[in-house]
Amino acid sequence: MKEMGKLDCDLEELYRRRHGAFQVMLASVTGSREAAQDVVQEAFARALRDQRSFRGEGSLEGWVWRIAFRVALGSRGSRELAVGELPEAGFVDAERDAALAAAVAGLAPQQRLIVFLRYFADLPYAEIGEVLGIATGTVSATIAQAHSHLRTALTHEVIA
Amino acid sequence: MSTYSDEMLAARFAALATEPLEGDWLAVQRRAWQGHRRKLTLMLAAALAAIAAGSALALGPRVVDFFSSEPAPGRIVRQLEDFKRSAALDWGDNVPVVASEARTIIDLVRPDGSSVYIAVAPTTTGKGFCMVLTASGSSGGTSGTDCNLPDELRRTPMQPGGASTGDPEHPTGWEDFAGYVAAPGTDHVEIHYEDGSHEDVPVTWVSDPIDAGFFAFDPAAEHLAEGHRAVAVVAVDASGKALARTPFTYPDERTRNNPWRIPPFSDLRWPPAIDQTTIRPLPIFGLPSWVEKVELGRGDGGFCFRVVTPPLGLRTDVSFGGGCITPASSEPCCRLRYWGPTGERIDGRRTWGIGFTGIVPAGATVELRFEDGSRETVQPVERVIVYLVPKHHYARGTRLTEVRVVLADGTVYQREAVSPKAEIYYRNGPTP
Repeated sequence: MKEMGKLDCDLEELYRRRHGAFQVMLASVTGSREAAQDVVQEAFARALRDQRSFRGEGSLEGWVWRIAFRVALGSRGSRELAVGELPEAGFVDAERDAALAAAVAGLAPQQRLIVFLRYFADLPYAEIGEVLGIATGTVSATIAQAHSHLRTALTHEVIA
Repeated sequence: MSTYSDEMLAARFAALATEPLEGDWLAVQRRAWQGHRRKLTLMLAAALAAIAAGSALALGPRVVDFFSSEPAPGRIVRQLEDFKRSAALDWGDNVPVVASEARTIIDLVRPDGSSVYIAVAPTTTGKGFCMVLTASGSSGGTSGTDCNLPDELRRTPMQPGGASTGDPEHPTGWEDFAGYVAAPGTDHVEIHYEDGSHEDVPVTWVSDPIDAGFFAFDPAAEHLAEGHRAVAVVAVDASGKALARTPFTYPDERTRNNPWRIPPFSDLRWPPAIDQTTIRPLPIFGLPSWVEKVELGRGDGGFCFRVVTPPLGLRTDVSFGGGCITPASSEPCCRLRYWGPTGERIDGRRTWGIGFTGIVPAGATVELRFEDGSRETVQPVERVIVYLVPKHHYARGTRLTEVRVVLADGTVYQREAVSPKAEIYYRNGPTP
């Protein structure tokens, strides 16, 4: 008999606005769009159900991302978000962009994850930090390193 | 040598992004509630344990999980789909029903053959609900489909209907009650009778995305007898406090048999006393858009007028009421009759307004006075007045405060005060 709470509305709005970004990003973890869609649905369902555990200390989107990663990794049999379980570079389709796929494959796992969160999930640095539980400065430094690696790899590609 | 900027990298990644599959918020809600099932089961078990232990519990609503409820049969889904098509005129292109997700909530068939069936379906916005209600009794029944969005539910937090005896619009008794209640905190509903007694009726509260209660009740046969009939349905909280109330009235025999009685809403017949050949439209200008015409008919030394609304959605032309001057009338005027909410859906919403109809003495005019000191004089047409307050008089400080019927010699024949605080009349207008 409750009225629809504000958090319900915020989650719905977030879902309608961003479910595509969640799917695209999580496909890199699950290996397929269909599995990613399922993970996104489950993540938002858990967020709806367990919304009391959202204390409002960070952003709502960051909180849902954390849930989504847990669900995605859980679907692969993992319980925690660990560096060893980071997205496969295979998400960057080598047939569509061989150079980028090769460049991404050359990134360290944490760099790869942060790059994905930055470019596929379009998350700002602070939210990437929230999702991964690391400092914003670490995100910034990691992205700088990744940029450096990618620029080098892709510049060589341009010259070639 | 070229280098890659952040923007160039972003563009290159973006070009790789695959088109996401379509989202489905309703499916998310369904999953969330499926996860709640266990919790609900535990809550119900706890409640049963408390009852077994003899705890003093209020009647309490029975809480059911919408997505776990039985899917509505195909005919109900089709009925909702038909509603979606046919109600497009009322709602625009966005009749907000998700017919495929309809669930049966109440399905009762009683030994006497009467029955009540209620199915609900979520809306495309996830807020409010659509409902199919069918009730049948010994003398007929009712069947309706409608969608109620949050605004509507705030205005009408409870809506009982059911199978009645007598005229559908002016029932002489109720064989069945069924309907919804959306007042937060509702514990159960009470049926109050003319003899002062009342009965408690449990409510089945349906979880999100419906978040409303539903009830059905079959009063004993004695409650069809005058003096014992239902006079109200009241939604109450656990402490017995009334949260919403819907009254019922019954026309007396004299009224039912009156040859000068304008038939009820939606009935286009004229009173038996009127000569059909005399019926003609009245040239009244400035009518609201939902009034198609005002007609006048004469007979036996009296006359009647009737307001007709244009086709709206499922409805064809309907009578919005009117009035009569009978030959036996000792008064030259019937009292002005005020309009409250018009009750019609226009563009998917109910339209509200304040206005009045009436018949005034020959030669009289009607003077309107407003909060801001302005006045307006309305000339009747063949003694008939049909007037709707214009929207520029909806704001506080400008509202209608008084209506006077002034005779030709300047005498005030009738004076009616109108409370500008009656917000119910101004729901569509600005209320600063």
